[in-house]
Amino acid sequence: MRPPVAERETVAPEALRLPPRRDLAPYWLLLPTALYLGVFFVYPMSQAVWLAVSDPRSGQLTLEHFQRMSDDVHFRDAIRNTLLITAIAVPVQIALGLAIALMVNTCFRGHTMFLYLCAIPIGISDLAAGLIWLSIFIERGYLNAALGALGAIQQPVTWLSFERRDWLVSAIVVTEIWRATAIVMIILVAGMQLIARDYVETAQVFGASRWRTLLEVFLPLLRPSLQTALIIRTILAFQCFATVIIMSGRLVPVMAGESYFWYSLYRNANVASAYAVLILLFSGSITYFYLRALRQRELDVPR
Amino acid sequence: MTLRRLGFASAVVMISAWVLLPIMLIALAAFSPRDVLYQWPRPLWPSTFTLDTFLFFAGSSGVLAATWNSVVVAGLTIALSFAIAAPTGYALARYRFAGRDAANLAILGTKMFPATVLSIPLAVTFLRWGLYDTLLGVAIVHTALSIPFVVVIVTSIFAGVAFELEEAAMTLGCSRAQAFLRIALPMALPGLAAAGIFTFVLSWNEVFASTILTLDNRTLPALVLSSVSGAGAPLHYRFAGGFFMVIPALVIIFLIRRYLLSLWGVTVR
Amino acid sequence: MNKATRAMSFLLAAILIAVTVPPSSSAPAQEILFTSNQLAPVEEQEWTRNTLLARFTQETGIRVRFVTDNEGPYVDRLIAESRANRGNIDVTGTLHSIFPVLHAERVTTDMAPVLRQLVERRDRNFIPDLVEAGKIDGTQVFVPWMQATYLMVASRAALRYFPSGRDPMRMTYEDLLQWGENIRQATGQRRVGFGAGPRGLFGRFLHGYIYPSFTGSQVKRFKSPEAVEMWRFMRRLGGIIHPSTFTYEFMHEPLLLGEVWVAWDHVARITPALRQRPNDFVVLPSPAGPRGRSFLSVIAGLAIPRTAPNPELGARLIEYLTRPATQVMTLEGVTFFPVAREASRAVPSSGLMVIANGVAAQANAADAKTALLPVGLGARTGELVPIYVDTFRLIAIEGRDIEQTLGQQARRLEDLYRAMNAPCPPPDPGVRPCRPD
Repeated sequence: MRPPVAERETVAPEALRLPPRRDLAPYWLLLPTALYLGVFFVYPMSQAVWLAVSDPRSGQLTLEHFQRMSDDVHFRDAIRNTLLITAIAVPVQIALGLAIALMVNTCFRGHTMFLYLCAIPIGISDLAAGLIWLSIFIERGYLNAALGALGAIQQPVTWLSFERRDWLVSAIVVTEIWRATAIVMIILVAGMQLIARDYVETAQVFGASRWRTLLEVFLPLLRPSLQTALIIRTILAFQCFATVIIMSGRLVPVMAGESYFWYSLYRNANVASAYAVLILLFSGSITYFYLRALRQRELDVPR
Repeated sequence: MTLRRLGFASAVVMISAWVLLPIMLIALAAFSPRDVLYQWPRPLWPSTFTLDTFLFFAGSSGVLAATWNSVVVAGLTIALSFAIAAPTGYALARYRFAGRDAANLAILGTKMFPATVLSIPLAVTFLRWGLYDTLLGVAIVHTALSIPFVVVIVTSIFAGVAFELEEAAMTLGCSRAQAFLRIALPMALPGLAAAGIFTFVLSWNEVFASTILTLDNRTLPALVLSSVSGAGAPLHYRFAGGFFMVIPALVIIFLIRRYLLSLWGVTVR
Repeated sequence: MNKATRAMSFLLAAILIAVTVPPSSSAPAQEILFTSNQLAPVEEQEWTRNTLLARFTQETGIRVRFVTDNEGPYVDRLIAESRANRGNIDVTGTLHSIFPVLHAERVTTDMAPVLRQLVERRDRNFIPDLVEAGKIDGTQVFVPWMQATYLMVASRAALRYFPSGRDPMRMTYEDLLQWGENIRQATGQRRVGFGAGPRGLFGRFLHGYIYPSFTGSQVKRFKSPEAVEMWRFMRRLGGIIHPSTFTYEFMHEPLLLGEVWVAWDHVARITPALRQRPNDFVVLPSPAGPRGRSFLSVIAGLAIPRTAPNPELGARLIEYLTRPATQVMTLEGVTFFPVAREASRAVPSSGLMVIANGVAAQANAADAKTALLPVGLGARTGELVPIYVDTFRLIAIEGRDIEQTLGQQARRLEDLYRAMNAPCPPPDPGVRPCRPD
């Protein structure tokens, strides 16, 4: 049941000294969540997953829907674009969110206001963000208006053009970064509150430079929050499609967008569910990878 | 030294501008007369302001009721998801038990399935159970959507709160529950505030479930997004509607912002 | 902690009160629920509630709750009610291309008795083609409600670049291409636009307008030599189409912004531009190709779902909406045209004259050919249009080989039609299952 002290992992080192008869407590605490999600999520989800693998008429198991999904002209592009956008946007969001959180943490004058300002994009849905940035990037949009007013360009530039696919992807990435960095920042700021000043001060007393303190003392202590932010952002990035659809239509297909189109445009819930299952598999494997990678390093950090 | 502070200050200014500019754009556009929005070259600052579009929008059928509905749903969602998910987060942070990793992954796993595909099974179930077209029904779905995130955030927060403090309190005579309430909870407040903001906004902006599951008791996004942006409403409506939807989120975040930073000077260790 | 507890408890209390206080359940004497995916823009909704339906309530005392949505949620809700065998929706109105989907999910009922009652009143003659369009597998699934079509709109300033010596009201596709070329040479910009965005109706242009105009067919001659010619033309057209055309869903916006000077779209999606600046735009009939000037007529129909709680009250609403006087009001209000002969002769006010003239010019042109939306595809109706749009993307934007792509996409069309055993849409003969030659 409970392995001896020396072998325990260090994720929650404090959870050491509980008497054995308390073992049932975590299960009781977990029960509400398990029940709730079981009824209101897992049940409809299993119905949807069943749609992905069953023939609607005969009710037998079939791979037909996955085949249709992979035969579609948009399939490969959808996977590539989703991975591309996630791979570019998420690291930038983490880095930027971290930078802002660190700035807030120095408690400069006006840091609460700064925190509030940077948190505002959280309140903006991905649909709204897409519409806002669309009105910035279109030919007769605000970006060209500003550039024209500054005299930087003579004719408006068509930023969103079917001839320049990479510009389209960049526009989407910019919108995503603008919108989603805020949640990373919020999670990190909350996590930073718990890091004792003592650690930082101690390191400085021992003569460590600011950078070293940051890298070797502060960031490792922030690991749970960083991990949380990374996982949440990646899962959400895999599902975002409103922004992509608004800025690029179907020229930049993404997995969640394809799921949506198969569902609402083609009215084929089976293939839509197949895409949903694919998203589940991708998100799941990447999260698992994160958890393992980040856990390994944690064992190496002396506590 | 001054150079560094200058650099710091300019970074603050640039980042603030980057965040604020698009917001100001919708605010300005929401209050501009319609011709100005279609003008080219576009004047970056409209010569006149008008409340007309905004008022028309706010006054059109059902908008105020929908706003209230959204507030109620969001509040219910926060209450429900905290009640259900916070204990789970605490358990996952504090206890090590068989199946912990599996539980973690399973809870996260539910979030990895896009909500769009769930709408029909959910709607059918709710119709059968009489939860259709009720705010409680929508809140139930929003709670299911936000529980995984709340669990993850709360877990990481409690993982950062030293257990020794609760132990110290217990040796001084508190029960385990009291130690939790008096020691761990206040320290976890920034994290809870973060999770609260996240949940509120998730519920507030959620469109799919609220559109399918409501007819009369619509939430604001369902109303706005279908009639304003979904149906190709003219530019000035989109901006007015968009701005109208953003305001409550701005207000809530403003109210909660202090809780993100612990102002109690809690001494740790 | 105190501040936090207080704030939280206050919030919780407020919510509990709000939720436990029963909603204004003072149900009026009679009330019905009317859903639609038409009339969705805010202004149209307000007009529908405050003018159209208010008069009905005045007359009959029946209150109507009107809920409008995008196609996705609109259909989902009807399907959910059908599957649960319990519903709230009394009347629903939507496009005739959506009814096959609803029919496949057993949402629809036989509307023939209602239609018969209306016809017996002898005050309205439904246009026969429209009634026919409401039959699926012999069942009359809807009563015709209103109709619309797609047109070209151009800003007056752009007319200057129209090829000299040619008549815009008798434009051909070559004229359109030349027009766009002239604009590009003069201004350096590509100002012809189609709604090729996700909810744009560009697909209708492809299968209902240009395909029959070049090949005389929507499906059968999909990969014929005439079709190859047509796609070569489309490639050249791609050179004068605005590069952001895939972001356009409703053409009134780019028209008003001035990004697009010549646009093609559904009548209801260009009306806002005409209402705002009626003197700046002209409405033109769609262009003609080698095989004629093909255009689509879109029909919206009313139906009572199987799970409706108040079918008799719903029938009364249908009677009101299809009354000639109401039809004229609808035309004035939202630019959807009547379905009864008596109302079709009404002259709309000046603002709409421009549109009405355009519609008439298109329908009455010497070389006009009516195409109808493909039917019979049941639950897989939504898969047809994307096949055409994908073809455009592959050939005109990505530059793939025309014959090969057409072969590939024709196979998809064939699979679809064979799976649903559906007949060819007009102007093709109604052979089933339809096969591209």
